[in-house]
Amino acid sequence: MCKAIVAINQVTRCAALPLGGQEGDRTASQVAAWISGFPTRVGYLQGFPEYDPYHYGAERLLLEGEADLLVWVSTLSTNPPPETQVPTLVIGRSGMVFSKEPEVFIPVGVPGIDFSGHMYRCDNVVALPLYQLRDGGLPKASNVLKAIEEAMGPESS
Amino acid sequence: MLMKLTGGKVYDPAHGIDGEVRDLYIRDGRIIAHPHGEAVSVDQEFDCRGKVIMSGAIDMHTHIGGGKVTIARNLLPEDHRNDPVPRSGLKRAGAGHSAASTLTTGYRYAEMGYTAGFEPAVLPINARQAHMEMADVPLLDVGGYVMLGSDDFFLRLLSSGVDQEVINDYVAWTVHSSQCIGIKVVNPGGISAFKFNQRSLDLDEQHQYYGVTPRGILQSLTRAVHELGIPHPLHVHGCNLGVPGNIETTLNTISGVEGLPMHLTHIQFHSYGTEGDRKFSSGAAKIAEALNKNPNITVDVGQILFGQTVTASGDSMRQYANHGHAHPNKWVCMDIECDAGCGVVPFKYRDQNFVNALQWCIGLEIFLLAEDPWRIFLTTDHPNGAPFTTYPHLIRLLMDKTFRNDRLATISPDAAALSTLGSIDREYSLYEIAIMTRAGAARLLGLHDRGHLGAGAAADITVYTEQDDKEAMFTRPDYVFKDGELIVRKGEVVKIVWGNLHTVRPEFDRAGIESRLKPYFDRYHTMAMDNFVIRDWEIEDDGRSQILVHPCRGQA
Ligand SMILES: [Zn+2]
Repeated sequence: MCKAIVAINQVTRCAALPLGGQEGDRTASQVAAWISGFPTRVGYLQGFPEYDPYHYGAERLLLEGEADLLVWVSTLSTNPPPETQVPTLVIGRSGMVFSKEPEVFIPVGVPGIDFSGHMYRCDNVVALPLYQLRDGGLPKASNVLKAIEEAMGPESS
Repeated sequence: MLMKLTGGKVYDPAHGIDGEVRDLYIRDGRIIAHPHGEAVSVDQEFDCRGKVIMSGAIDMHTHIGGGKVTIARNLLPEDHRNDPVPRSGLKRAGAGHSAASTLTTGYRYAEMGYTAGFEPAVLPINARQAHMEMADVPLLDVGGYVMLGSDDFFLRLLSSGVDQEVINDYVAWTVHSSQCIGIKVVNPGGISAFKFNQRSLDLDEQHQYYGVTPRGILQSLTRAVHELGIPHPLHVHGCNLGVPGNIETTLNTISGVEGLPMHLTHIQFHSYGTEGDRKFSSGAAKIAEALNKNPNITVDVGQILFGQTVTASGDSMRQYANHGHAHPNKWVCMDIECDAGCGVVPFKYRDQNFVNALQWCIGLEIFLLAEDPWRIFLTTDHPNGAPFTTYPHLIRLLMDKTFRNDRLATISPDAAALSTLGSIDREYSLYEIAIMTRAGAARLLGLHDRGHLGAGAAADITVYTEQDDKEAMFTRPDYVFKDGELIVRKGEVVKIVWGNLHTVRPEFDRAGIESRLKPYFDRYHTMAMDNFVIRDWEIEDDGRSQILVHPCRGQA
């Protein structure tokens, strides 16, 4: 399809508008790209970002027993994480229902309901503001992550 | 806390100080007058004897944020794979040579003594992304120029012949809404014309749908910026970028604004003649002459330096035209909303390629023939001409004639033979470098408390060891201070701070223009007008960046 669009543009104008994504994955991919230089599925094992969608795909890492811990961050959807043998830490939308209880569940508020924030549209181009609509008293996922980072001390940050 | 920088040779062109040995005092993030009288107790002293002190450098045109940079990042995993930056000390990991990740960008700028950088191609509808990316660039103050001139609303206004007042209100509304400090126009009307399948749009050529010309667009926007009192003149990326013979267009663009202030960006790419066997020649002498004669004109050069980089521009028309040169062979062009467009084309400048070698000469000729360093700025149009990390090398080319001529002897001999570069003796002084990279840039943008070392200035300060090898000198400062905090020592980041966002907020009739914009957004846009406006909390709520509003002419 890209080749067809390129060919047509030699004589007239033509474009495609790729749409897709849900549950914040476009947003995560954008932020991953500007912070690390790569889309999601980046490993930091060697101290620098390495992009490898196959080797760093979470599903494969879990299936083949290469992971020691699953940290599941999901503030938009109440869908639970995949079931796995390794300990699971969930920083997830309050109300998430589990068929297998995770070792740790920290319920958090939802951006656009409990907190302000930003989110990319499905065109992956325009980011929109999310507004706070209520004060539900729930913590913000980013603050939870920051607190964990601080508790681990400067050496591990 | 009182800090003292003792005995350095100070270059502060805003105050006419040219290498005088002075002490500087810093308190609460600001430079203060020498404390006299009562016993002064200095909390921390830095011995700067034998060192050169300048204010922090300001890059007034660098593509460090906005969708096109992240498109470039996603397009070029090899740019990152080949240049990994492991985490070390306080610095988090990152990657990239020409389109580096945001954190790495901030560290690299700071380690070279830069304390501010301005993103010149903020699409109004995508300004939020530009700010989010710039907010993740540590250690650096930032700001943006918002792009107008190919947007449907403006072109409708212009073609309907509304009063200049209405255009002024729209321009002001856009600067406010996008939290920017200046207005940029890229290929005036051309990005829009490309959507209608026009493949070029010269200065007096009509847009086939709106019937307006680039000349008319430039006149309207230069006037709007001027009448609103926005300090930075209209920032112009002209017609016909990269086209042999575009020198005529550029000269006509200069005369076309009839004395109003105008900044011509990456002028090197707009200074090409058609002489010689290959119909490609240097227009540098004519451009420099026009610059010297027209005090209303400022330029930045957009120097090219040899090697691999990526070109990222709002000029979708010209980027599409150049996609055949993509190296590696992949590229992206986009039409974006009712606003504008963008194009990302990776490129390798080669010293044995006639055109590239002559481009290198043309940029340097313009630098060396321009008489007033207050009206010319040191840029590579990062990353379009080269990554900003080449600045120390570029400074050496300007300051060291022998070094320059040695380099000239290594490039394509055909190009070298057509250039006057070898016959130019000028060497820039440290004072002139301080003007181009500090005092002049701050003055051009209206940053009253940056780019100088007088009492009241923000303590953004760089301390270098004076060396004959100016590339080495400017690569690795001894100390860099950001708002009074020591952030770099011996070229290494020692503290992470987050920079400010510089903006202007001209006065205008909000109710009047929003009564036109609201129905327009409802009918044509993909987002509501209210969501288009970027609020202060979006920038400041994370507690890192602070918005600084600089006064427009006539504002207190
Ligand atoms: Zn540029």
